[in-house]
Amino acid sequence: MSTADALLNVAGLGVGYVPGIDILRNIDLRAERGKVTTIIGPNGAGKSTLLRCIFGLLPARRGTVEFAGSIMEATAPDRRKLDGMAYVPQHHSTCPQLTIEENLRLGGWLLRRRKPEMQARLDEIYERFPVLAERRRIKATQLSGGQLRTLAVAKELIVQPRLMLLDEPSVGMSPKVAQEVYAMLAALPSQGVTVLLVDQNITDAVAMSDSVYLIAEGGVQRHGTGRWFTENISDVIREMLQGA
Amino acid sequence: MMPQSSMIDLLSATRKLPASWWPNELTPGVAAALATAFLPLMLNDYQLQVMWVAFYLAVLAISWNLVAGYGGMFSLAQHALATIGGYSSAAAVLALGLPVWWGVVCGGLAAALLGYLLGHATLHLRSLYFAIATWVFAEVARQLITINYEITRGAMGLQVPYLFSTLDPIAYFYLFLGLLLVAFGASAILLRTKLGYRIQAVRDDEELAIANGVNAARAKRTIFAMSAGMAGMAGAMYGHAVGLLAPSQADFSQMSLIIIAAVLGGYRTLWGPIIGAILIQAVAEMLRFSQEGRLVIFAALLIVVFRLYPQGVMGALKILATLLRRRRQAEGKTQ
Amino acid sequence: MQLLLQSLTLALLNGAIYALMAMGITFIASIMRIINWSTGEFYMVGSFAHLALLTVIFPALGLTLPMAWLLSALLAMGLVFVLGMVVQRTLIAPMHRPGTQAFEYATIMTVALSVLLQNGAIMIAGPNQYSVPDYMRPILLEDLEIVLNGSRVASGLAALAIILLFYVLLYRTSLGLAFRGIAQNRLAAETAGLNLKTMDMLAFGIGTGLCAVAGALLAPVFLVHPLNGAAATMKGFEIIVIGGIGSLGGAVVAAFGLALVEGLGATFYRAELQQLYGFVFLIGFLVFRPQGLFGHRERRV
Repeated sequence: MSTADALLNVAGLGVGYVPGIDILRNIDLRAERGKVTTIIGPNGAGKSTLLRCIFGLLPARRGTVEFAGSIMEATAPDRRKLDGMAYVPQHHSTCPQLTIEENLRLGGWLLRRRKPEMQARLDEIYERFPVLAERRRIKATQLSGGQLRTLAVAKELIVQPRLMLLDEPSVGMSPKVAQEVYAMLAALPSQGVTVLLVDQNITDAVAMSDSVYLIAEGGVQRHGTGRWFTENISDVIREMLQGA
Repeated sequence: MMPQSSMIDLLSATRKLPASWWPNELTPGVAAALATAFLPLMLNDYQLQVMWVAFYLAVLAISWNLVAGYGGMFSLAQHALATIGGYSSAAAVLALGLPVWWGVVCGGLAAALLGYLLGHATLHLRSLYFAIATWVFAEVARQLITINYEITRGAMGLQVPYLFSTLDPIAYFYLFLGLLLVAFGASAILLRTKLGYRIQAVRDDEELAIANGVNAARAKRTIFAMSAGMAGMAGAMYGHAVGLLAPSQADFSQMSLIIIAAVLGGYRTLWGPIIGAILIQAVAEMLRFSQEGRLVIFAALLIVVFRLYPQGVMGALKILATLLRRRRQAEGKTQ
Repeated sequence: MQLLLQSLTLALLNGAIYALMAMGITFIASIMRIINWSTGEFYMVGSFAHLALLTVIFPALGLTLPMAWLLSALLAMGLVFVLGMVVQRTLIAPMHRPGTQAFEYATIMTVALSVLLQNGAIMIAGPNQYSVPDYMRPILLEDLEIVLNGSRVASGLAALAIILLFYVLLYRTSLGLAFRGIAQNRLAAETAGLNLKTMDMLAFGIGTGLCAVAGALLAPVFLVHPLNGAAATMKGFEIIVIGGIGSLGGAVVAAFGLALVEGLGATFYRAELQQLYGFVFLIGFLVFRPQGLFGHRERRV
């Protein structure tokens, strides 16, 4: 995999919250254009922290984050959004008292001055997600877990990002709903969106991935293709359980 | 005056004392108090009075620091509790005929009791509502004192007997110096008790503390009542030192003085409130020209210092100490 | 009957201005999750700015305009809007520094600010009361036999207009949508590409601006005095606790409600107790229902 194909290139990243204690020590990671890259690892390994740092919600102590060829400046999420990055956090990523349509329009903040474009994108989203179209005037607080996750993804898609970061998109959902979410995510690359996701659900996530990273104890323990991980899944799980 | 680096050395040397009930911080405190005890040789009567007023403010700031800095309870009623202590003492002395010193004790107890009740009524509220509730309490206290002028002489002020038969400020200087030492010592010791650790745990993360078995509500009420008692007793002493009580002592500007003193010095430290209070009094004396001008300078000073060093003067000193230590280490390496 | 009508009308007009102030406080509280303890002082600064513009600067520039008072009040609002943004950017924004307790920082800073502004005003303008010429001649409704103070009518109507405009901003523009989103979920707003620093700054400016224009509009009624801020803060806090901190609708309802109770109480019961009602309600709500009428138990994001 050449660096030229990598939409996202993380090199030597070190991140932490408390001074003196690093959660992540030396992370090298690449997300290839048009592919699905998954990060797995035991709880507390820092996977969510990694995503937050890539999106600019947390400053990096060492190393660089390179996106679409440019090095990202420290802590500027609105800048990264402009450049085409999107981030779907694990919890609470929609505004409960706003309707679906309002949530989507808020997601389309960058398009707020281009009304025809905004309307066109909205229509696209409604076509792709009839679930949302039916409930467009309903407040988000009345949606089910799966619908909320769909809304969270949809409101990022409305500005057609190049890279989408997702933190445990299937958490707290029934297996059937989780499958629908994964199917939706698997379809994204064909629509021009590169996907980088963090997941606890190893088997399902790995099955749909092109590239997988196992992060534990602050560093990248393993890296390989999705197929390799699927074939060696039991070894990987054993390693993770022993290491954690 | 001790040079800065030696003070820092002394402070770090005391950290090597064996663990006991005697807190490390108390040694320099006692030393400072002893050194200060010689000041009356150098100062005139007026300056002595300025100093003991500073000590009084320091005690109030220490008591507020207990609830707000170490306890995480942002109370805006400290000044009112001190005032209530004063008026309670007056009630005990004037109405019940108790000797003045017993009055002071009564003042402290009354304030502690009221503090406990106030805490009971408000400490379960979120910090926002708690702050407003204590603010309202202080305002109600002030209004009640002003309105019931038949009893309290209202805004004209209530005359109360003096603590000492002499009017020599040196007596009050040592009185308030002693009170300050006791307050400082009490908070230093308190912070090392189980209650002290518990309340700091509650301040840092209340849910986590409760999950670890701490009775957060009781700890908060206890600390709040203790702090109220300290403020009340100090307020009673002040009243009998000045000879006059007034509802204006419960004005919000008085609370802001306490906050400014504590925060300027460093409001989560033991020394901070003392340093802040002395600083404030020093500035006040330099700017005797106007009441408002003083407050403007205090507020501006706090804004600037707090903006740059939220840990106050103590915080700035710690940063300085770290820098000096690093420089010395670097020099040691190159030698 | 006339007495009732007169009282009601007055109460409604008062309520509009109360609502402006309360909305200012609650807006900042819902966006930034802090209480600005110098709210009243911004009200006071607004009234002084208005005083200076209307009685000194406009005449000095030779401007005689119809409804000059309205222009002056709006300009005062604009000036305090800018002042508020500057204050937020320089003094309050650091509350988000890692390791800083945001609420405590903001409280200490705004308390200090309130002392600074109040005493600064006394130093500059003296502890004097200044008056502003009436906005309108008294209005006489012959059929109903009611006489209404012209200034109160004018300022009340202006306040209503501003409230309406504010609602239009909040519910019909993308900026308003952004503010509503931030109030509900800061993270969601941030992932949408909003610059929270800028939004906080704007919110503080708008909030203090609303308080300032309330002060400006009430200038002929309550006169302009450096210590007016304290009463304004008290009134504002009463209203938002009753209405529920964080609820704009609650602030408006509580404002009109309180104005009605005060007005009717003063007319038909005992006039000297007028300011007490709000106080009693404040204490009552704090004890029995701190989240107010419309506040919700919020979840932190």
